[in-house]
Amino acid sequence: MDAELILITIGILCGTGLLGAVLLFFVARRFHVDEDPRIDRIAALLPGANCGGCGLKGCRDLATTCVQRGNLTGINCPVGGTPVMKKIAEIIGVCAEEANPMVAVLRCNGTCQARPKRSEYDGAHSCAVMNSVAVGTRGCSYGCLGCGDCADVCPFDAIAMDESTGLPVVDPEKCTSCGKCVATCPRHLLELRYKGKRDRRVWVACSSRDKGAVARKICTNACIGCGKCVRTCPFEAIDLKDNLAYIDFEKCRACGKCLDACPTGAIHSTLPPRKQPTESVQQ
Amino acid sequence: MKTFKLGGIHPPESKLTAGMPIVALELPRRVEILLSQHIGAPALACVAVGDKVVRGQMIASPAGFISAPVHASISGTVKAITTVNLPSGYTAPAIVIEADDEQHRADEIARKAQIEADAKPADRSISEDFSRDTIRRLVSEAGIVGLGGATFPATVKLSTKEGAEPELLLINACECEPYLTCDDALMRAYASNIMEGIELMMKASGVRRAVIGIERNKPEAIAALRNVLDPTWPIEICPLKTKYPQGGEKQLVEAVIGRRIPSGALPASVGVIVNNVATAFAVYAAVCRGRALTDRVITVTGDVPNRGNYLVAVGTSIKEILGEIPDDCKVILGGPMMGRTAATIDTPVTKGTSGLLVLSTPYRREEQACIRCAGCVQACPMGLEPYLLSTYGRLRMWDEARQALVADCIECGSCSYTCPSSKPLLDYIRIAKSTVMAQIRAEKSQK
Repeated sequence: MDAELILITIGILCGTGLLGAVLLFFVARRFHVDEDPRIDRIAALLPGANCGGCGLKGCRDLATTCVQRGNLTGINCPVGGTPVMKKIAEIIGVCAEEANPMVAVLRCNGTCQARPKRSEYDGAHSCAVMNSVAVGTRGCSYGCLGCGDCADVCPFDAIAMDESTGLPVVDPEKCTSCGKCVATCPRHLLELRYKGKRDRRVWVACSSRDKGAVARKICTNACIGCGKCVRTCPFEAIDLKDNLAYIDFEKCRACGKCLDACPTGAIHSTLPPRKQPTESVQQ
Repeated sequence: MKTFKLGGIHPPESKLTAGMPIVALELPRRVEILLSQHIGAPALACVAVGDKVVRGQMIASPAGFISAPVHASISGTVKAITTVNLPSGYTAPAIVIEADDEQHRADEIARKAQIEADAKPADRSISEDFSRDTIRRLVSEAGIVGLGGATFPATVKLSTKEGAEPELLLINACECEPYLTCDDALMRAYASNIMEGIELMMKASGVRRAVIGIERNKPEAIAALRNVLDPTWPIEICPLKTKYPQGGEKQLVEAVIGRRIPSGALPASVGVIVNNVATAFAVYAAVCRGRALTDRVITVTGDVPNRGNYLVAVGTSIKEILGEIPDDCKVILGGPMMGRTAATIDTPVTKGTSGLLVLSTPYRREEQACIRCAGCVQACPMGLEPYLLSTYGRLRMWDEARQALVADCIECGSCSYTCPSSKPLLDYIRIAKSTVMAQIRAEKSQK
């Protein structure tokens, strides 16, 4: 009895399996969708972080869009950068545009020393919450709140909070300019700017639109809108609007003259430290 | 005893100033009057620097239907139209008025006469002379806004369509926030004037019946109202079991008439308009006494020596009212549940300031992990899941938050109060709610 039962069971199972296989074979044939094999190849090249830095829904979406359009105009994967875009260009048979690599910079330098604490905050540890209920513990209605929402959202671990200054620090090596931090910061303090030739870039590390005297009272590192940098710049790259200087990174050649002109040190750069010729003459 | 069914909490009442009379604080020599003291478009300044203004004169006109005018709360000279601090530390445009000795003295005498006139029982024949439109116009010109805290322009609520009037005017006299007693003091002192105000509001909105919803922890106020109530009037007093947040309009409607307002709808959808009891008094003052909203009663309470219920001029500096307080105190504008902590007290009183609460041991306990006790779910008076909404807010999952009905949250803070892990649940829910509300508004304007 037992042997017979086992045989019947095996038979039924095999039969069902076979029937299913045959059915699936024909269904797969009937409903087959032709997908460009290049999409898979491109998707394999992309970083797969789905960060949305390209402005599309994710890496797969970028691959599909590239293949559908047949060219790469306006498409750039900031994470993979030029090497990946070149490979993609090879696959779809066009020339890749050279994209200027970018990096996120913080437009605030209100360190703990420059902006002493003015009030206490004991709500949720989140910049978005703090921004919505109050001006922040340091009294500046434009500056960094220091709760690190940008560091929390960075998918590449490129932002870390510096405890001594209370400000986030962007690691330019890890930053892929995906723009998540830019979208997250409730005060829009992070900006994507050109990495610059030989990694040299200059920017105004302040976003305060308060009048000079007010801004200075709140933070000793603030841009006071004096306009010295505007007059110094040989390339007309600096613009002064609402008591705040802004350096256009398309025009800036990173000469560093504005750095010396700024009376508050609100302009930051990645230039190597410069010699002080006046001092040596005096000596 | 009636109350709302879903959720709610019982925080310690701490009504330290209950039973204290309303004391008129001396008018300040300098006021900063904000142009935006209401929900809606900020008012437009209609005086210039150097102009002489008198107390009660309109100094900023409304900018649209959902807006309210602003009036000078002292006589004096317009010194500046500038930006002043808000309690949050941000700045907003305001008109600064300064008075000289003579103007100050004249104002004080005039106000004393007003207070004495108010103390007498209201003359009931006055209201009969006013038509529906006159009352609405006077209320609108007096710059009256909802004085419960939401500061919604009162005329908008009273402007009902003819033929489609709501059936009930609900007067919110719950004052469910711990510590606050300003409405209580007002009802004890001016019960007959409030009744008159309610009658005027009924006439203006064409409503035939009014109910005063009041928590039973204010027996003196209930007695004072009962005392002046004529049984032939269509006004009813409904004592309610004390429970927070009974003063929320959705909770109050449910508690009094047992109807639940649908998600996203206004009380008008169930045939009710809700107004605060202090608003009723302001309506009385505006219509019967021709007085603009330039003063309001606030409660000063907590760890300060000068506790009490004060009549203060709008625009008085909070610093001036509180006097010397230690630096490490927390000052909350409004009650402890829904009030906002002031980042700076160098800021003026507005029409919506109901109280100043000073706490000397104020800071929150340290946040710990959620233990899945569902205390917040049980406490939520809107039947939401605060732990979930808060997580969505923290992780910026706006679509999910919207599906979980974050827009229904009334921000009462029962969840944060209940949480044994001291999680700042409401802080994150507020972020999600404001984002979702912005989405909803954007979609509506597209249509």
